[in-house]
Amino acid sequence: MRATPSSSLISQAGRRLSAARPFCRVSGPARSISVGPSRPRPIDGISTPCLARPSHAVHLDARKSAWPVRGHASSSSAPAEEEQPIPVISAENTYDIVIIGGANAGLAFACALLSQPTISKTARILLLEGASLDRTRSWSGEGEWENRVSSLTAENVAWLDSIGVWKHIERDRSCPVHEMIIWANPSESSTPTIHFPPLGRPMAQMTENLNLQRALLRRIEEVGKSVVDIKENSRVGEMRLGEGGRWVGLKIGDEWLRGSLVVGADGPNSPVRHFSKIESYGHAYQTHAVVCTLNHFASSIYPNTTAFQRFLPTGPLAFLPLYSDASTMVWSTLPDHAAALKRLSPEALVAMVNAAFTLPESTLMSLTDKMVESDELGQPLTAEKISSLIATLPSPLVSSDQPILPASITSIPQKSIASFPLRLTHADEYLGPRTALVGDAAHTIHPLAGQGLNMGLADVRSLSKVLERARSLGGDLGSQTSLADYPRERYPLNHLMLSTTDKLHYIFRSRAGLVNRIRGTGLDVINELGPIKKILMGGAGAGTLGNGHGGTRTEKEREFGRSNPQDDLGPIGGWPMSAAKGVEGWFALKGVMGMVGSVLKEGAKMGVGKAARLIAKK
Amino acid sequence: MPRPSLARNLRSASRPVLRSTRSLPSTSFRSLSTSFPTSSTSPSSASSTQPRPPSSFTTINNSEISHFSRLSSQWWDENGEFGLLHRMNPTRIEYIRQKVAFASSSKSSASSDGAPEWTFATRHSDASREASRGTGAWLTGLRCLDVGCGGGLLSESLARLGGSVVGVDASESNIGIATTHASQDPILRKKMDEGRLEFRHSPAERLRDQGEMFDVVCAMEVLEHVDEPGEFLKCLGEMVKPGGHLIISTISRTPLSQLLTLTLAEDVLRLVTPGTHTYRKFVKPSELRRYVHSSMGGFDTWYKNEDGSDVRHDEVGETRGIVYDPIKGEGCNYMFHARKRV
Repeated sequence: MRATPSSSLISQAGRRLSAARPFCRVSGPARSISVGPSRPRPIDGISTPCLARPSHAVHLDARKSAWPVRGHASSSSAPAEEEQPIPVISAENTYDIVIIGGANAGLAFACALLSQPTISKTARILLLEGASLDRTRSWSGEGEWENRVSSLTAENVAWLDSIGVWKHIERDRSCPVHEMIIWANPSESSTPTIHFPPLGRPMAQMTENLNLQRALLRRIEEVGKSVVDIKENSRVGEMRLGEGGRWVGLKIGDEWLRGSLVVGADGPNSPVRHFSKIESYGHAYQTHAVVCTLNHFASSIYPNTTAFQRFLPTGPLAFLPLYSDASTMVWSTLPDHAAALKRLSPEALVAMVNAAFTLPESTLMSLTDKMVESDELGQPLTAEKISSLIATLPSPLVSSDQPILPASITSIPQKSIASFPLRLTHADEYLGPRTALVGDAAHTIHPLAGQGLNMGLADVRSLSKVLERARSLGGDLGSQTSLADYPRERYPLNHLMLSTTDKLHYIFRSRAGLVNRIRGTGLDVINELGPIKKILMGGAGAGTLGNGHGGTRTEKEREFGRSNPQDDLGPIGGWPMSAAKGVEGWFALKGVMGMVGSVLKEGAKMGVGKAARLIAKK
Repeated sequence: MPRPSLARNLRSASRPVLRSTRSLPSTSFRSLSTSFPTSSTSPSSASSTQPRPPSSFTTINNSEISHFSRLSSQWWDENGEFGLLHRMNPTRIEYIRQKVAFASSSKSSASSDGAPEWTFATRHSDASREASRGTGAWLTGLRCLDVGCGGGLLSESLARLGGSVVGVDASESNIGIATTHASQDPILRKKMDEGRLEFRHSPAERLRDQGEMFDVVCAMEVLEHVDEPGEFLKCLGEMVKPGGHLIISTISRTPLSQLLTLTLAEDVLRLVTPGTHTYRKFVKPSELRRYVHSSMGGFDTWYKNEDGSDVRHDEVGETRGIVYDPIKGEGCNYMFHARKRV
């Protein structure tokens, strides 16, 4: 949807900017300078300095891509049309910060800004959303489960609590994850498993995105009435850098707005990123994720607070708890498999998912192959066909170290089934001319570690702190000097997370001999080693689990570790802790060295074999 | 802000006297050291009982002005000539914030934002109390003067913080740049229209002669560029309202500052145009503090330093090194603060 500048609005009084003229030159009504009484005459020969980047206007593809519709970023650059000058923008339409995108990252950013004392006292903030927020606002907190569910790490939950958002969360609809079981079944005889045992506090909270968004929206409406303006159904038609590069003009319908800083929280196909001329790199995984809600019986023995993830050669399959009798599934698999899964009837999908959690890998793979075959013939498998197939397929004996399995699924609501392609992308920069990118606009990630939203929230937290500091020191919010700390803090961390997840994806998918063996050993070794597990957990779920590293104790820990109730409760530490860490560290080192050794040995064997063959050839 | 004195290629340390005399034919050369009893840079001082200069007298150095006029188009290039200044600006404002916004409310004319008072019951929430101090527009209601405003880096920030700001500079093109730049920002433009931010092409002395008074008087990186820093400081001091603050930032005269500002920044790395600084003109922190004590009214006019960090009987005010984290000492760039008695 290309916005054509409507000439009726724009004064045509000969104020045409020639295409070669940089935008920062003074021209047009918005740029005329009139200043105080003792005004000096205009200075000739001194060109107004502007931002380093050349100014430009971009006609935006205003289609806002929502989460499941992850498309490939189209790098279309609009042809430079004859620019109409921006009409005078009134004070009501002048904002300090304009947030584009009213999904998780955008709403969370508004809440984060409201929690900062200086920003909330002095800044005017505008939140623009292309669609309507009514669905979020009117979400009742009961009924059907949403299929868009995210894992919130303990760190982010604590932060949301501290800024007054968590109290608005529908607590019945947010499920704590206390335990995590990750396994694979690369060969018939082995089932390497990592088990993250319960720690007495949740490592993550599974929360529907709508639940989080409604809580964020309520918080904004609670404290942000005079600070944050929300404009829904407002698509940005055009973005342009204003005079001197001191503001960004945004055309909404026929109206122009401006902001000192524009924050792009506008999803993977970010118009703000295109405006900023920031390239992003990455690659599409040959993988689509199928999501749906799983209904099952509530166990009378175990609470449904365990997350399961099975690594299949086609990608990971995750079972994430939502409630005692409901969970959500994320099955990342090959695109044709995903398409075939989506075409199954809900009953057949139930049978397929149950099979995917329970069958040995080889059997499962021949079953999914059958599924794709018959899907290509136009006859998707039925539930009966699946069960008869399972009976006929060669099924090796299940080994005794079969992991604990998730509950058996009884039904899947048809409405909840959806799929989307997976991509890894990372923007080259987070800052453009008076723009900053947060969340999916800056990076998209494979969902296997459940970190997409959490990285977005961390971005938002960091950027709001940076802006608070700049504001309290009178800085220009959109200037590079004010914003420089944001990418400095977030870029390396996001990059680490993206590349780790990427490597995990490929390592766990591969079934090649060497990688397979290492992975098998690796999973087992990791399971035995506290420190590595802690790191993985820190990444894959619980940020504040770092209590072993000297945080404050929870009540339970206090009770447990205290011999005398009158004891002063300091942070955990002291020589026993050091000693324990030392012992643990020693075994960790031993295990890692062993692993490295076996890899080298394999490599050497292969190398020697190859050399021998070469010599033999000669 | 840095103001250089001569043609770009002249080395500043090499021929200071010749250069000064040549560039200022109408005024006799007097070293800054005349004003500082302990300084030993120039023995050629005149008597200490100089008559007050006539009102047409200014401490402006013409060659410095022409140097900065040449560079004025670069003020707002964040990666250019004045990039270091852009990066130092937040540090300076933070210093001003600590001195002005944190000043105890009994003496402060600033309406310090409602930071809760310390009580026994809230003794554990020091961190949050600290965090709520100096937030918001903490300069609201204060009249600020930025002497040697250059492109207006400091003035714009002070204006955004709510202050009513006058920026003066001796270079007309600097004032032009500052005016143009501020008027392009919608928020600052509004302040200019309301008269709460203005830039004047004027020496500081003229403002004093007009009887202007300010709550906060700032002179950032100016002291090392004027003739007769002593007269300049007296002029600034006279413009501070009772209860107001005098805040100065300048460069110390040490081997370290010579290495960093002259050798490295100008000659080797060329971050700053060679000739911007003159080693001889730098002032040491102790000289500055002692001068304010001896020649600007001492403790009758200024509060004693409350921090206890450098309580001395013959020195007024506090100095703090600011450059970069590894070098926190006062060996190079430093800030000076003193508060006038009510």
